[in-house]
Amino acid sequence: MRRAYIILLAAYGFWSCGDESFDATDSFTKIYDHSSAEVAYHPIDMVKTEEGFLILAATQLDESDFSGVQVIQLDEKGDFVAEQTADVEYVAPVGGFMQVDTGYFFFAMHEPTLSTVLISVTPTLSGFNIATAVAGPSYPLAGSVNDADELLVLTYNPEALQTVISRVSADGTFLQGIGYTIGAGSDVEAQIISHFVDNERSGLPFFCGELAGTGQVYFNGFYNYTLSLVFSSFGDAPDGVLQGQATDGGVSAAMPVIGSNFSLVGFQFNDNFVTPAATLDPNGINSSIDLAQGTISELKSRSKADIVLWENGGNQYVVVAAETQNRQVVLYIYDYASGQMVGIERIGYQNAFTLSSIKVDDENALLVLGSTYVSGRFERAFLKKLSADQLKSFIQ
Amino acid sequence: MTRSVYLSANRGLLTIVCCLFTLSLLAQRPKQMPSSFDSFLDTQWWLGIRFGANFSQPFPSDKVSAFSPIDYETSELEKDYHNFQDIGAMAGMDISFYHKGISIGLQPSYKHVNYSYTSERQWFGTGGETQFATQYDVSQYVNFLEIPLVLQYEIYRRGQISPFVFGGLFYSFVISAGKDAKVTYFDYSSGGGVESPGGQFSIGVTKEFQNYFGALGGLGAAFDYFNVRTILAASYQQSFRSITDREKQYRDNELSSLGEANDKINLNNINVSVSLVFPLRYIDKTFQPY
Repeated sequence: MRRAYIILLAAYGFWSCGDESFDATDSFTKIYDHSSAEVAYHPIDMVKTEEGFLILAATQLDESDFSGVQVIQLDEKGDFVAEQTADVEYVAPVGGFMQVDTGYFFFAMHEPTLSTVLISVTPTLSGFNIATAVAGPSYPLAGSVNDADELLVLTYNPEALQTVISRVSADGTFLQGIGYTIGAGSDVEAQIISHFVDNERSGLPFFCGELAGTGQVYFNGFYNYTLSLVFSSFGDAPDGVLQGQATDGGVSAAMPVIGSNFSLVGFQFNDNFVTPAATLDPNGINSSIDLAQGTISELKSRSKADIVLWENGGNQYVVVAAETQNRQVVLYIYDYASGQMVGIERIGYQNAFTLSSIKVDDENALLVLGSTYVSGRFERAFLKKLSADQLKSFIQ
Repeated sequence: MTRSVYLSANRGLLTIVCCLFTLSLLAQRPKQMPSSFDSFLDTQWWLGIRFGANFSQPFPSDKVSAFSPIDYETSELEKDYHNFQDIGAMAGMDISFYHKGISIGLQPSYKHVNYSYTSERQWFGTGGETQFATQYDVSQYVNFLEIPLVLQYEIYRRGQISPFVFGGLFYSFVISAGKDAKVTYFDYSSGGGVESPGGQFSIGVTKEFQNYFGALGGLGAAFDYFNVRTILAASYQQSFRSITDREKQYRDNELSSLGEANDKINLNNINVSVSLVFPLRYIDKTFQPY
């Protein structure tokens, strides 16, 4: 009898050791497909929640030239859970998708009043909570959160022909704002309008943020006819400007690392350059072309780009994401201390892949959001999660 | 009593007496020693080559796709596997130790396994009519170094043919794997379906597979002709572990944009093999075993 038990136990052990366990939330690649040939998803940004992820996306509207607002809820494995579309009067959502305490925020536009609104959602998508953030005519261009958990929003005021940077509390209360001229005439405004109504062809790299510990903000927007990286302390004139060249040159993405040390991606006509460690002068007038250290021929013309800082083993790495001529999303990993590229990873085969944003989550994993064209034609959002171990394996 | 009846009775009696006498003599004879031929076969090492064909039965138990559907059921993304349709091959060694009807042996082999599946997707217009469809046909191959440990029982031995049954365990080390995907598009936007090729892709997917193990059982027969033992065997293999690395299931691959991702697959096989084996232990140089 005892022998029989031993044999049964051995047989069970042999059988059960084949049922290996793994965590499907560690890393994944998911493409969110819809059965309709008529719909397209334009993902903008994502945020990790306790339940999984939320994706902010723009949708096509029959009722408006602007894009509609859509939020997609995913579980921890990246699988689709639910989606919710805002009322058609709310349009033109912009990144980033920001977390303050337990709320998740983004800016959009209330089309009837052309004012910028702050929209918050819960992790389970129990509706849109909407507050007016910037009254009066203001087209939202970009948003971010600062160290004080206040929200920064970059807008365009079509009446004053100004690029406006504002501070807003998480409840939508306007705190502070200042506008800087885009230049007289209609040329620049036409490009801003095209950014809204024809983003796929004419999208521009608007973004904003704050230099840690200084209260000084920066934004990439039009200033004096030129797409420039502008530094401001909310004074009547900017503190400093890193000038582009109209819309033919400038900064595609920038990330402050320490003080005024930045990692940035720039463009000059059809060329792109990456400067993983650049010291900018936030109080001076400079030109982005001076930061170009050779061009990266792999990147497509005026590629969309995003940058995050990723730390591992006491080292800081700058991860730059951009789009390639081959219609892939490429990740360039630079050692921040040396400025040397230490790894490359490419995402997407067979069909075209485009970039929306990248983020590092609380597991030190890299989240890559973008879109791909299923069967070469239907634009669908994708989310890829690369675990810290995977990222480490890319480093040579 | 007639003469003929009398003679018949005598012949019968004589026959019975003769039989009894013969039996008594047989009973009295000393126990006969086994022949050298029998001893030779009773305990023996056998070594040779083994080759054959296999037919796979992929058994998916955790079906995944790179697609996460928004408005349709995930079951629509399931692949249609083809059972026992794709032939594979194997070749290797056959070494066994035989003693009085029972033998234990190893059959290390290089095994090439094929299986295939099909997947389809459709997209619809606002009226619900099919606008576009995609079909992709995937042929998957995996090469293993397989080491079966087999216990064999000889049902009976008659002359030069001995049928047997066998069972055992096996462990398979993955060596390489590749995938061929053929994509076909069907465009219905203009009414009728227009078929067009979407490309044919061959990619290496060795990292997506892992070693696996399981049990096997079957039957066969050994034929002792031409100074070689020829063994024909057929077996069924049941795997206890997925051949696909589940950690890689959800990661990016070159076919992700098609929705392609490996399911968790227990790969069962029907194997048909021929072994040509030779005895390792000869009695002497003059012995003629067959």
